[in-house]
Amino acid sequence: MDNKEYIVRAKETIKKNLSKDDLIRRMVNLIDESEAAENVLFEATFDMFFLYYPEAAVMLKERDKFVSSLKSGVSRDEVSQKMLISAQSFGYDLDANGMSLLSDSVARLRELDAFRIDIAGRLDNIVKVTYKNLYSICGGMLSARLLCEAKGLKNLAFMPSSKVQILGSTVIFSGRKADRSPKYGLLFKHSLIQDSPQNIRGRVARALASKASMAARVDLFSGTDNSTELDKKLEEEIKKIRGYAIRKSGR
Amino acid sequence: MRLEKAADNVFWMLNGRRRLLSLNLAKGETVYGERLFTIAGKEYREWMPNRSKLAALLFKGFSGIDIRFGSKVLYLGASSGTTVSHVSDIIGPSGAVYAVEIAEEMGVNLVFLAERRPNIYPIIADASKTESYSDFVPKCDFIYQDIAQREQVKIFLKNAGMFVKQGGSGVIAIKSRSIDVSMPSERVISAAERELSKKCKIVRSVRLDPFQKDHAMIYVRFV
Repeated sequence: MDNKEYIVRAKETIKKNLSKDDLIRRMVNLIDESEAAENVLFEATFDMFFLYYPEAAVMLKERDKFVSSLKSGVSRDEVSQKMLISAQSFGYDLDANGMSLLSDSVARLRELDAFRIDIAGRLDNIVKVTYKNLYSICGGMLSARLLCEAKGLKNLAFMPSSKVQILGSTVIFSGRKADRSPKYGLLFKHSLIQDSPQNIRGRVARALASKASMAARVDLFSGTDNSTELDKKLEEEIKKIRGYAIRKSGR
Repeated sequence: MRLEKAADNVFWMLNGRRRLLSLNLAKGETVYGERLFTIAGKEYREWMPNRSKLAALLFKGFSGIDIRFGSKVLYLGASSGTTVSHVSDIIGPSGAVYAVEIAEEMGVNLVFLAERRPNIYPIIADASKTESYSDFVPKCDFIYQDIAQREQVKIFLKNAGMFVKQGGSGVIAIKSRSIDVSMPSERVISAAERELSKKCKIVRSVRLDPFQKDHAMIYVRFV
């Protein structure tokens, strides 16, 4: 007996089973990890900048603001003009070496930011081409996250929509103990839920989940583009829910 | 160095802190960064209880593991092959371990391991669908299962019924959190024991803490 045959068979199976979903999972992971790296680098760079120019640093505590404000230069003269504050500072006066180090680390931070946005764009494109219907309901990033959490389109399509609704919810365990299940998981990030008032979010999430799982099924079984029809149905349902909420609050 | 036999090709190293060692089948190679020891001209790999549940079972004082030199073992949930490599050490070149794993990414490492160790037979398949690999697995002496699934006891019994010889034995690693999170660990484990005892004889049931949290190993014999 020899295991060569088994190895060949296993390799064939692996090759056959790897799919676009695996690529999508890796890309989501790449985005998350580079975001984390960006945050770590931002903190260290921020501290360095704080040492040099604390007056400006206190106004630039958010990462995105920090990166965009220091785009044109990091010296006190350049930053003070942009922020409309005095260039006089009680911070430590960096020498030329220190200045170049500071501007280098800001440049790395900016590169990382651009890199992350670039991957997000590519991911969006991949989802748009591969899963048209799911994309039209949930958008690129959210679809990708749903696919990751469900471990592939097939699993997502075979799930009951009530499960899609709470997919990725972290309170699910404590929720069980409290005898109350969560309203939403990953879908919380969807703009429809974000834009809805608190009291109808659960209903919106249910409608959204039902359309999302329908879209996943269309993508899996036929692959045709039914997105306009699905979008219309979802819109109608959301309208109904919002109308109901207004009637109720009017009473 | 004093060595004391723990199982076939597995030894306790008794000076200082107690360590479990298995005789390295692929000389000079480590699998997951474990330490290598050379004692009296033979090379051994350290077997850590917090990396491998089978090692934890030995650390908890269970000594009657029936995986022997030359055994045929069906291993469900091989993952990247940490424990599989030690099983491969135990059974030696004349044995065979049929390692079933569902996830492709884990399977890649398993395949690489199998290329180094000719007694590992990798199978990329779902352990709950026994039909898909029944042609490739002969009757085995031992079944080992470590899959984190709700239905794991059912899957274990199904596989045992198909592939394990009469008089063979097996170990199932119960991860209570993946069977039911809302129930206390003890109740999940005793429910699994009840289900198992209908089909086979439970030799011993061992909780694996402090090495592994919320885990139990149940050693059974098929009569």
